[in-house]
Amino acid sequence: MIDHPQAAEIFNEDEERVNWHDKSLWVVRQKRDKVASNVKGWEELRELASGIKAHTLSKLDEYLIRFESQAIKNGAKVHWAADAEEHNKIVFKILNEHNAKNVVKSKSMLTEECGLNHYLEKKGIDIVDTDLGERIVQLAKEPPSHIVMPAIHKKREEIDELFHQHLNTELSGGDEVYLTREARKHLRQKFLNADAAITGVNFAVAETGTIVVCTNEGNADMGVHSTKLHIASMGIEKIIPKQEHLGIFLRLLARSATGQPITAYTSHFRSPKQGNEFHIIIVDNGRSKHLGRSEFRSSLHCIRCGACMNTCPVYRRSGGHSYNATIPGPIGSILSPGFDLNKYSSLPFASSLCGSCTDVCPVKIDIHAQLYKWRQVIKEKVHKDRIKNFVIFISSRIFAHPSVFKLSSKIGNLSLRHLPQTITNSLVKGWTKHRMLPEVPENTFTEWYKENRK
Amino acid sequence: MSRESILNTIKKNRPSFKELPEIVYKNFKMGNDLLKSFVENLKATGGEVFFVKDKNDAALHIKDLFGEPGNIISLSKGINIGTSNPAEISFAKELDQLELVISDAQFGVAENGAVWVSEKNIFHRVIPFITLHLVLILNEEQIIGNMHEAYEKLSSFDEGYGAFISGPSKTADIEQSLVIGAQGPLSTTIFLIKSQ
Amino acid sequence: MTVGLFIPCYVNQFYPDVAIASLELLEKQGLKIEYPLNQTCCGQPIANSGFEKSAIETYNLFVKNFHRFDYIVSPSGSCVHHVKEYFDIIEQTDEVAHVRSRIYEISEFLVKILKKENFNSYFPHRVGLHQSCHGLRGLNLGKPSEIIGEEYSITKKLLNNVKGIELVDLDREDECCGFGGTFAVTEEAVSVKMGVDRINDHINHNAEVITATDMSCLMHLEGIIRKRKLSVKIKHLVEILNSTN
Repeated sequence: MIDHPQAAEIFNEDEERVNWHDKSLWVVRQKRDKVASNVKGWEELRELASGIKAHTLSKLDEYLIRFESQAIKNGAKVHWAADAEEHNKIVFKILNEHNAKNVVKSKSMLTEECGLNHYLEKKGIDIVDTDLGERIVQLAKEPPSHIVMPAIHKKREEIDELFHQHLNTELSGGDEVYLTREARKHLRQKFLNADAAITGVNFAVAETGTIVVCTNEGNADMGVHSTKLHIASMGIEKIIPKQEHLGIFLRLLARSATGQPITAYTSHFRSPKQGNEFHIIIVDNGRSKHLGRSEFRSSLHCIRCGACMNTCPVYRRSGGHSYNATIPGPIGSILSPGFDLNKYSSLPFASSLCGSCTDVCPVKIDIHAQLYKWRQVIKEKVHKDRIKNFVIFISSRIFAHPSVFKLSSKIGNLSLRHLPQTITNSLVKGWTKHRMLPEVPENTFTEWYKENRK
Repeated sequence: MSRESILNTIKKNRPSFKELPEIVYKNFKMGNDLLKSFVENLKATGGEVFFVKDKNDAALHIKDLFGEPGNIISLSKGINIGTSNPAEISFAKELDQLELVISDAQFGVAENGAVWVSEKNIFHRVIPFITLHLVLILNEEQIIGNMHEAYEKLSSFDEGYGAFISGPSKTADIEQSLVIGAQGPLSTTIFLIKSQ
Repeated sequence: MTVGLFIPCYVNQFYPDVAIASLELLEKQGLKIEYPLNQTCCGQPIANSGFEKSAIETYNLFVKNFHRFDYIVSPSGSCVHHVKEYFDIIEQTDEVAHVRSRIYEISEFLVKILKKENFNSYFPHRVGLHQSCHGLRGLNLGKPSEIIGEEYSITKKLLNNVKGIELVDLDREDECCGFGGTFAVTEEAVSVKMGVDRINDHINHNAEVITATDMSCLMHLEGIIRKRKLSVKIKHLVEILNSTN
């Protein structure tokens, strides 16, 4: 399992491709800036959204109970899953009870997190992801690289080849209109022959027991309304207290995610149609534990917009796959260590701490501050790279003692000026492959000051 | 049971109580021309919008735009060009060849060009999605400013399903190139009936 | 008003001219400046690597050296930001509180405390401003492009008052240069790519000189510039402000 720096290095071997990937995402960030600037009180909206989420977390159990009772009153069936395994088992049980063999799914990062597709496929269930981007990565047998634009890393020629192989399309040089129309036909058949539809949940309203699902393609609705069984999976943190709060969150979500004022469809599911079944699975999978981490709990505000990824100069130049986490990028780097500190220990370091992510987050998660804080936890709990730890130890001794500092400064100065470059370059490996070391002046400022001012 | 253990962990781990922030809705009011804004924002989604005198006018316009497709459902009272009766349909499969749907919408939102439809407008929930083309009709005065006002209007919403529809279905999943018409309708046209 | 000058360790070592320019510029304003000789480092490189507890002694030494001044000024946004934000792990004595509230990056000190924006500087060159992240987002030296609100920039204001200067527009006004401390070495590929992209933005807009409030950014960019034998130069903001005819 390679870590982020190794994966990022491989990604950067193709500079043209990095430029293309970086530009694609930067354009989305620019779109976001444009539509956000048209909203009077944008920064106030962010503050409110953050406040509503913070309040909700402080009463999360009560709101979940309220949501459940309202949803049940509305005719929905509510299930609780402690972890990914239990979630998948519940989904399968429901499908099995209905003899559902063909399932359509609209985007849910939660189901991705739980590994649902893989689980169901092993049980002989055909599960089709119906967002075009998700379908593309499903056919390519890859995980999504971005939580909103899952196939952003794929070039049109690659998609063309993929569709030619799996959907029998003609080779078109990656004509997006042709490929989308073909996908529509293909997915239409899936919808009409599906036994069940699985969706995610963008927001779950405690007051009314309603869930809201946002799409541009209309695939969540096509799936749900073509079948008699709707299963909606949600993390515990998707709860918002009141219906009116949807006004705040919906105004922020699409603008932050894709630079649109709203998605084409914002669907409110309250009760199943007569004769249909509507199941909601409330999933924990580490979230309630994360709630107890006072410095990191605000990451549960996340509404999965992906704005942090679009603005992150590191994400844009390393790609979602380099994080090896269900949720990549800045938010992924503060959520994932909570799941597995060891596996994801390189992620909080995959950042220059520029802080742009914090500024674009619609729910004001202090992402860059949490990246810094996770670094402290990781260095304490994960004992890696003894050499680096030793270097830091030595540095801390040097910086704590002026006389040692002055001496080492002089030694450093002399070494850099007089040792051959081959030696100094190898000492500062990781800098000198692509950069020159700074030129070393004869005197430090301290020496100059002593000479000229004291 | 998982429910109990999840709720207990949450109760144990949740932060100390934080007040719900006060929302001052008037801070978000833009004071711009709502109609102009609605039209602009709808067009930006790839949707079309036309101003008409009344429903008869709308029906004529529809004919101009779409010709006379064979498979139409009209759910809008006063527009009688439908060729199928939704009441006779029980499965989505039967609607696969649906070409045009005409329905009333309840209100429109200027800030994003969205209109609200609910179960009572669309009869079968799949209808506005499975059709090739969607036409929605509302009165000019039914355009409000923003989503906060929208949810004020929806405060007593108690139907099983409703949706904001803003323009046609679309995707940009292939190299960020926008394609209008994804899994839902290829076009969405709004007819605004002018105020008298 | 007494002012203690804090010079980041690598500036002391590699870019003494920046420290000299800072000292001279402040002295020209009639201020009593002192450079405590026992200063070492703000501790950021250790803390950012995840060892903030190991930096505590360094933090305490910093406070010991600087608490006696009315103001502490440094030509480094990231060091100043670190002291303000992350010295919260040591006991908050009066001295610590004083240092954290009275430490300023030099451009904000000039504008906010001395209330001066023009220094009769003369720098007849095409200059690209690299808006170092800690200064911009951490110290609010300007409005970041992703924040929605009124435009403002202390650094641009100061540069626009320099005679003969031509500030160039960039494609990306405030994207990170990729230094990020140890990030520059642990995530070398991405760090370098970020630096290359920043440099290209400046070159594409015909900047002769790239300036910034942080020598760390400029050191990283300069490293790439020299490796690739590019003609664009770097100059710290305070060197430009201290340039006269």
